[in-house]
Amino acid sequence: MVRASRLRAPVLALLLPILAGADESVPVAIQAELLTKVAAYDRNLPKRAGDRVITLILTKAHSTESERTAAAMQNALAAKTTVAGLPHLVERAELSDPASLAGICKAKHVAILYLTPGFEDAEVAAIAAALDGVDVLTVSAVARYLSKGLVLGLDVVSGRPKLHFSIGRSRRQGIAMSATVLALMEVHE
Amino acid sequence: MIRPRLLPLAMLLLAGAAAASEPASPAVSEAASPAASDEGSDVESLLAEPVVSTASMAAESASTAPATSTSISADDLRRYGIRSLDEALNFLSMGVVVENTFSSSEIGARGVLLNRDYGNHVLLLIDGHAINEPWDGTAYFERGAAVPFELIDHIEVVLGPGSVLYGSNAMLGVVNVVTKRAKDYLGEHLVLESELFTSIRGAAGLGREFTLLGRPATLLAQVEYYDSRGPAFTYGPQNYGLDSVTGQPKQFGPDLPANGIWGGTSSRNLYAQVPAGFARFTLGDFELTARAALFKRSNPFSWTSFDDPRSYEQDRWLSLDARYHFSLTKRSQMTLRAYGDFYSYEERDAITAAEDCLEGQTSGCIYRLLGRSRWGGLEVHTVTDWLQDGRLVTVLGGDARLRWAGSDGAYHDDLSFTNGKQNTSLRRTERALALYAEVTGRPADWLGINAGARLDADQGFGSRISPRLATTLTPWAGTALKGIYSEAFRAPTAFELSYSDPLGELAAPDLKPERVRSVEVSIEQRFGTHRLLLGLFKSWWYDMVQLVSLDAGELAAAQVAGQLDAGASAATQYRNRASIANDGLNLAFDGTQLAGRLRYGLTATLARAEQDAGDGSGASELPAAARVSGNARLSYDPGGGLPVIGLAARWVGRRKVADTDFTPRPDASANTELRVTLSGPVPFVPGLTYRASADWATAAHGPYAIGPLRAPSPPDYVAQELIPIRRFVASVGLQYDLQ
Repeated sequence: MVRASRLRAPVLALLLPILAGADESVPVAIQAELLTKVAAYDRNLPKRAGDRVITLILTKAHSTESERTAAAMQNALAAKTTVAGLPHLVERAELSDPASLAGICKAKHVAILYLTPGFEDAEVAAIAAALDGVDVLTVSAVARYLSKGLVLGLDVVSGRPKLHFSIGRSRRQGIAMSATVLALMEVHE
Repeated sequence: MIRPRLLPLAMLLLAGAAAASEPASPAVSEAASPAASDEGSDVESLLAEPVVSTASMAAESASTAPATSTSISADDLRRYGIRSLDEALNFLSMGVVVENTFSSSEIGARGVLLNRDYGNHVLLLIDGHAINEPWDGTAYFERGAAVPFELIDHIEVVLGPGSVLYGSNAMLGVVNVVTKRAKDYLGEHLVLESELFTSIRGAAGLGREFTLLGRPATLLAQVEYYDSRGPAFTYGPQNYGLDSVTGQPKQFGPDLPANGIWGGTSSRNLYAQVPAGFARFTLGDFELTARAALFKRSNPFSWTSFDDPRSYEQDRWLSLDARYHFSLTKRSQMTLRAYGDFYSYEERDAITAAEDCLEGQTSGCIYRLLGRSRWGGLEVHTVTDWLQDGRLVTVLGGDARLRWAGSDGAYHDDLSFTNGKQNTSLRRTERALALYAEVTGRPADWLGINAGARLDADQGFGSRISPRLATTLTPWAGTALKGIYSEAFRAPTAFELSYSDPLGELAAPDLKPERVRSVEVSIEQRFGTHRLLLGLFKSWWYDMVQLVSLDAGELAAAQVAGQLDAGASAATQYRNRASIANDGLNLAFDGTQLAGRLRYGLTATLARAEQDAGDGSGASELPAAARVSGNARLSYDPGGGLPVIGLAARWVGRRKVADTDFTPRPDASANTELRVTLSGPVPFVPGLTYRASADWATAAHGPYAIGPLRAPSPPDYVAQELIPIRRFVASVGLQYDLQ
């Protein structure tokens, strides 16, 4: 025990500068399954997506955690060739600034925006603010991001996947989720 | 006993069920328009699938994990009125049975239950932190687990050998109690709960999220105190007769007449006290966890006394665990972990009779055994997803540990502990190093392979390699076929290796680890929100440690060597002697309807376990180990603030009685326990919730002999007296959440 006590302080001091703040989350393969299935219950998806569903995976520069999750998610989503009967394309982008991100979402008709871990809370809030009023389903598996203004959160509670849904934000971003699927989610205002 | 040749038939039946009920394949489902799809059932099915991490130290779907496991959710703990770990395992897990002895419970799995092992054949983890300690491998699976119950997020129960990643003790399986994250327990919480007229538990906890040093931080903490007293039971009378030292009728307590009788109404010696505290602080990916607990309980069925509250057992723990998780590369995650634990045990037996004390202690004595252990170490653990798509994942880890264990046993003349006569003392300091590696490959969508091994190099017993090979086939949607080969061991404890008593026990420094090998196959079929599982298993246990009586030659040699007093007339020693053959099947079915409002489930285990004690007597049924066990549950949440009703049942078949010398060994009758629970919000009081349960057991007695008479002597003692079962228990609880 003495050994552990002696070690803890220097280990903590060494590691603090690189603390990244990622949460435990749903395995990526299950995230991809859930995301594509849930998105299909958005009645506005066909109108928003047009002739194909584009999922944009947003990464943070210089974040290994973000890069690692993005690569795994891209591979998992790539196997989902259709969403709601529409062809499914998966793209990746690194966040430059929230305003240009909103522009990209509008210009490319991005239907789903997936935020990887690694962002600061303030960055997520800025992204959410920029996307307020933009028709896009914003989603992340980092539970605390939901409270910063995302529409859909993928979480694990009690050893099972759990969906969080922000109903107020969804209205402002043109998401009309089926009532049946809403009943399976924890709905927040 | 169901033999493996039934497997093809079972698979055929399941395949038929699957074909009849399976929704369209994922490809077809995705191509369909949302309006045409089966509204929400595909999402509900995904949400019903447990995510587990114990089997391979990485989060994954339970159906593809390389083990047979159960995940018990916090919601189910509440719905079914579960108040302790043993209740959770008995009512909600598959294949595990915990027998209540009113002192420390006995845990078994899939037909194997090893009595008086203090839980050391099952590895207990709290958030992955091993609780089994090195002095005697002790872990408790009832109130003594001392985990504040409201903090439990879920409990993962992995059946079968699990040393491949966890090392010693994981012979019957691994129970991992996973606590909540602070975000799921935000605010302040007060809990008051009582089993009416016998126990009370109060708890206060909190969960916080905040920012510290510019990073997200959380704090989760709870303290609680549990106290139970009673109920009173009437025992005996058992007419023991004369004290062999004084020649007078034996006396079983200072307040009892010296008439040789054990029994009467016991009102003072059935109690337990469990104060416990748990706290976890996280800062970014750094986490620090502390747990402190005490478990004191009476020893109501002592051979030597009756209704004497001075006889008890007590355990104390202090555990610290610091971890840092981070992404090492774009493909690898790493966890660094430092941990340290303190543990102490005390057994105190108040003895009135001279024959149970040392020479010269004619007016009684106090026997006191103290056990202590401390251990600490560093663990490094990496998970690498080489192709970044889950098709080739490796887990590599190493754990370096330093541990110390010691104990002292002495007979004291009285409670003041004067004139203590030490009869045993041990001290051991040892180093241990473990390296483990695991590869999970998915070469095709329908095939998963998991292979791993762990090397434990230990000053206590040498080295041991524990392999596991598992394959998972998913031939069609919703089906998982598993085949698993695994091995595990239990290191001999410091107590077994070094405990000696010149009056009657030799140390056993050459003791080897106990070993188990297991093969199992299972088929799991999911159809919508329903799951059906059938598993077959067979295991072989070797070098099981037993306390063996020395023969005359061995006794004389030990006396010549000075290991035993010249006056010792008998002695024992721990030896690797017994073996066990075990096989059987597990069956499970569970499901939900109405968006999770209606839930139900059923498990059944049929098993056979026969032990060869290695003394030439041949194979015999393991005492107290049920061949048939299972549970069933049904709950409905009507919503709208109305009470959630939960019905749960568990059953065990007849078991051979343990701790008796009656021949043939008598049976304890089968037992079914039924529980009904109502829970929900208290009207008009925001934040206040209630839970009320009533239990009823069909059997009056359990499978353990009690009292000093364990054989048909005197001749009028014709039936072994057995431990009583509380047949009716009612409990109520309130929880106030301020958020």
